Amino acid sequence: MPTQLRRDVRAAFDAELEPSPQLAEWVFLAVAPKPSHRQLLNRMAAAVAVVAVVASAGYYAYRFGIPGVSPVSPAVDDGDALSVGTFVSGAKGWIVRRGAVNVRGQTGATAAVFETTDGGATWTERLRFKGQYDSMVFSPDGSKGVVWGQDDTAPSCTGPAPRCAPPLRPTLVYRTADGGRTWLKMPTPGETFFTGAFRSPDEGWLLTETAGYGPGDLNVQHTTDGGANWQAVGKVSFTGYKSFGITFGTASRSLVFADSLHGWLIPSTYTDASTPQLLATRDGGRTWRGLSLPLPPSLTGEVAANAPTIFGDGTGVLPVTVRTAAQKPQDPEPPSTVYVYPTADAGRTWGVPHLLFPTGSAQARETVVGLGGIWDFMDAKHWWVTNQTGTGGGPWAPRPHLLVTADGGQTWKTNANSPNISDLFFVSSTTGWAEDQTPSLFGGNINGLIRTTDGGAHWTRVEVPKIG
Amino acid sequence: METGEIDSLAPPALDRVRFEDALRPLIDPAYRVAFAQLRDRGQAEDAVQEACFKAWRSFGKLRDQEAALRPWFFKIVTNECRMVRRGRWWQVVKLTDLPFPQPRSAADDAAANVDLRVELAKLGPEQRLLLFLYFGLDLPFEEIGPVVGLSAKAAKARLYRITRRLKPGLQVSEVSP
Repeated sequence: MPTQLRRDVRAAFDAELEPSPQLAEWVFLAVAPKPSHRQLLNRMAAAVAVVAVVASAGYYAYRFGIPGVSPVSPAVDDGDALSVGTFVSGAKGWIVRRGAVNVRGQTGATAAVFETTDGGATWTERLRFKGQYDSMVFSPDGSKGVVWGQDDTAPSCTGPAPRCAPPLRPTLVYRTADGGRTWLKMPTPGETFFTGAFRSPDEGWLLTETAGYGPGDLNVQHTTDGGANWQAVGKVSFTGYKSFGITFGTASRSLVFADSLHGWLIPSTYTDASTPQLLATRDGGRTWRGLSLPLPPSLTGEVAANAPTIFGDGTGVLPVTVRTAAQKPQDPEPPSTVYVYPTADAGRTWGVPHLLFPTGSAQARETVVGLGGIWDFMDAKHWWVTNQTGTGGGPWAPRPHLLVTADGGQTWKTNANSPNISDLFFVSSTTGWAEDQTPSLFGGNINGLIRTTDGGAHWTRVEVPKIG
Repeated sequence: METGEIDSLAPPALDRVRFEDALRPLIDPAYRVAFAQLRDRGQAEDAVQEACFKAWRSFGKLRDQEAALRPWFFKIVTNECRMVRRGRWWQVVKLTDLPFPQPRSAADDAAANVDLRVELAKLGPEQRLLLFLYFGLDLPFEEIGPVVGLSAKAAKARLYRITRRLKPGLQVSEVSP
């Protein structure tokens, strides 16, 4: 039986629909054209000519670096999805490819982890599994690592919600201690995976749920031996995706731990300024509380905390996005302002926030669009921020900017013709990797891998392998 | 000759039968997908027709993957709708394009449904698309994701946010697959 909401939404769409009963006949007549469709053919010829002109213009723009055209060659769609895993140096890192996932009812598609040790020139497949990759952590020398995700091999529920119960989708954890040559599939709690975080290949936490998607309370599971043993240490009270008035989602990196005791659960949407901004634990996940950050007194609008980054020396940053209120639902997401909260004690306390881009600087007009800005805070001084989400705009949209600071945000440099970056991983002040997006002919984006050796001023495409 | 030009681009005659058999059941849902985004009969019909041409020319590449036909075709339709929307900047706004339709009569609809229609009308095309694919066509998120250019997880999260905006008091189970 459809739910009331489903019935109402369907009825609302049906009410505004103007039927087109003859459309199928017209369409197939047009596909098998007759002389009366001369106009249609002329349009096709014109479209081909326009495509040729645009392609030529695009080639010259790319060749001669005219602003407005991506400075890297486009990513090629080989049918596999790409997730950028992690990188420990300019030479060594891991990516994940996943086979065709766009077939109705198909679950448990094959994923493969590939490793490069030569800056992306060659790749070696290290691990293959069926399921949905979430994230990975490797030791600095790359010898020990853990890859985790969700076992989604149980068939999807494709009917209306009440007809079939959500399937069990447990956590997958794979661990290596020899640089990826051999892997152990680790035992995991027999509950559906919600999100997870490892702060090293040994110590990690999972949030799991017993009731499938649309959870009740989340169980906090903890391991200190790379997933060999799990201990249920606590619960996050969770009703309708909310806890302490904050809404959470299942995105990767929504759970962060700075050390064995201090961790945060990051919201998936904005809240009004009077609601706590994130959940925090001080006892390794046993208990959680809503954390209310001191917000600027003049602030009006909605706020959302992003994942904090804690550096090796215990300093760190917590970016908080502030969005102007009173937007109309049909408007595009408005620009946001980002405040950075500093910590000097690994996140136990947070200091007075400052604007990411200082008032009066040339970058003050730059905006980070949407929640979860695309940035990398490598250490207390070296930060990279892109000024748009990288998920839209198409090939004719203005080029995104990549903003770079080497002094903790006091001064910034702008690369005004950046690739369309969707994730950033800098391993030094000069060398970094990024996931970028090329608009697809059929809508959506094709993810690719790019690399820089000059701090983000220039990028080159790295070819990635396909699952064999 | 015109037909000759088309034939040189298109797959062989046998494929034309396969193409028509495979695509015919999708034309009406595709039109509804287009209408959900464009809210204009003529533009939605054009979008589907253009999408069919593109699908026809690329149909050969989809050999042995007919299970993937629906998301693939809907993705083309959605792309065509985007092209139509991009082209709208020079068009004269017609009275019928105004985004807040009035209920046909007080007796036609329950007040709640009228509210929902008004709220739906306020949403952007991408948001309406996501709602329609999930609620209108019952598609699973694994299939919705490629159409809207998101992962299944992200599509689910976005749908949840949109639905909450439509119905603030919503129980989560109503959006769960």
